Amino acid sequence: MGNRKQKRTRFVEDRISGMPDDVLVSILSLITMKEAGRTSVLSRRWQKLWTFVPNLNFDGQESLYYLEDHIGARGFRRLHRIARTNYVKWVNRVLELHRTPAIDQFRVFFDLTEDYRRDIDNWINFAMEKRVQRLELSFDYCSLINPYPFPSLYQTRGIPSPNSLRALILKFLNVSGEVLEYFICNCPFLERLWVEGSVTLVNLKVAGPLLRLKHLAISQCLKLENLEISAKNLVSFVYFGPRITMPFKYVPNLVEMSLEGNYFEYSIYKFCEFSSYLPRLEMLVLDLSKVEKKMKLLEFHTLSNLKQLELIATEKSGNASLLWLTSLLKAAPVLCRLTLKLHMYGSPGRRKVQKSPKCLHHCLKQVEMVGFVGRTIDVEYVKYLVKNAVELEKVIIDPRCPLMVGSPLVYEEIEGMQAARECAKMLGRELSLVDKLIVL
Amino acid sequence: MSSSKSNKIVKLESSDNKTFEVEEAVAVQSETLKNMVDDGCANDTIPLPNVNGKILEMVLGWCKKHVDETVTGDELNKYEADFLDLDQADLYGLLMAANFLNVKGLLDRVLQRVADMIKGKKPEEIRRIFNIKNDFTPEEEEEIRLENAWAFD
Repeated sequence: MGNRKQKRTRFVEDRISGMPDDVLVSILSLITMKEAGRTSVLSRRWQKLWTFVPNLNFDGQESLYYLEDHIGARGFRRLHRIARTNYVKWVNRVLELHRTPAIDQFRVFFDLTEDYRRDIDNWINFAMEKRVQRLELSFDYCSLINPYPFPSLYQTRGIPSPNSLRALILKFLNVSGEVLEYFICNCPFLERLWVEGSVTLVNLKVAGPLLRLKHLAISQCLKLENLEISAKNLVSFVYFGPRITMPFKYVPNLVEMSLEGNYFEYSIYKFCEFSSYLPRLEMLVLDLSKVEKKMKLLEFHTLSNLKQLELIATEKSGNASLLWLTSLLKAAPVLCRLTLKLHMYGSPGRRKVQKSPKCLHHCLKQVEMVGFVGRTIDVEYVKYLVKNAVELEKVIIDPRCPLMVGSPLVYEEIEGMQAARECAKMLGRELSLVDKLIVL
Repeated sequence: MSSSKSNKIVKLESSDNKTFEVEEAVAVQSETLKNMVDDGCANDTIPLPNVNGKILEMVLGWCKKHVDETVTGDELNKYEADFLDLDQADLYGLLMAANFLNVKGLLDRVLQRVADMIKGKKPEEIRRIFNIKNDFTPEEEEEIRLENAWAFD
């Protein structure tokens, strides 16, 4: 916005205050809660308008960043305690003043624990009574020292206005399978469910005749043993966690799936069973950290709709190779985008580049390699892809570590990155990639 | 039964008595006008006493651009960005018109434009920009600041 020529934005009369309430409240819904709260002093007309904003997003990110910067400093624990108390006071104060009968979103984002149980219980109740559509309680990894237990009383008392809930997001608190099942069965319009970091989640059955659930994510629930999914409207599934039995009973419309953690190690042996449940899958993210040699021995069922594949691979040995991925790629005949995220550890081995096996990929148009280091392993794989992907249009090589991309560290130059770039450019010349190659 | 591409013309008259004729497909980008068309009230000229000619022309231009299938996504984005580079009087008029005529995409954009003018500014600056008169006494204002201290930290 800074570079554009700005027309003079001084109004001659105060025409904005003359706008109807709902227009002004719509404008206030587009700014942060604190900014909206500040408009209370503009004039009498504006004093109470902010209390009608139906979007309650208590985003404590700034405060969390501040705390992160001061970890280890003297007096940190006191600072932390004060920050938490202030956060809770903030939420309580706003809820006291809030006026609309219905809210769209109620979002808590801060690292709170069981110590604030009574307050959090009240907030959930407030949100439900106000027919909240999207309820999010996102605590933090640190909260797991003393996690907040999601109340089970709704199972006995019933959920106030169950028809309004469309999204339930619960991170780093404890919620059991029984409670979640109760919500799933009683909130017919629930479309999105995300549960992360709950150690009391052991068994979960996601099923129901009216289930409209479209997006399901179960992440880092380390005690999970059984997950069963029978959801005809489910479109995306994200799983990160321990080994469990194959969860799908009926997911005919699943289009996107992401599997990370120990799960995949187990599931590849059941891949045949697995892929027959996913006829419509178009996008797949797989963490292959613990797999390698065994993959060569397996035949994969065809995923006839798979268009995008993202593979996360970790290699500790310098002599490893990525060519075993061929058997997986063969199972995706219409694949057009492949992204490889590589975590390379250990010293580079010395081995010859293996001859590329022939396996034509007719639809593959774009290949991206994040974490390219310029060793035999990735160079060889790029050669393989260029030789076999006859329709290839773009090759993107990114020497940054995949974990850094998307974080504030993304611009840091790590030793070896420039060398990796040079290697990539040289490879591009060798393979005559010309303008198909993009090196980040 | 009429075909899906109706060539029906809708006639509109602004507050300053300017008339505009547009295809029904363009007019129904406005939910308000769409309801009138659906209810069969759009056969004569529709008067719009709270929208002046200049603004109505702008709004209809927006609607036309959005039904034009030859316009690319990039062209549309540029159009929308340039559209909102307005002076204050027009911005206010556009806000009223977009709200009354309920032209969804346009209303969202104008609301966001105004929100962007408020974002990150102190109350004194907001008052200056919009010429809002502070009708609180200093004591009253102080009291409100204390009451909503969480917003002012």
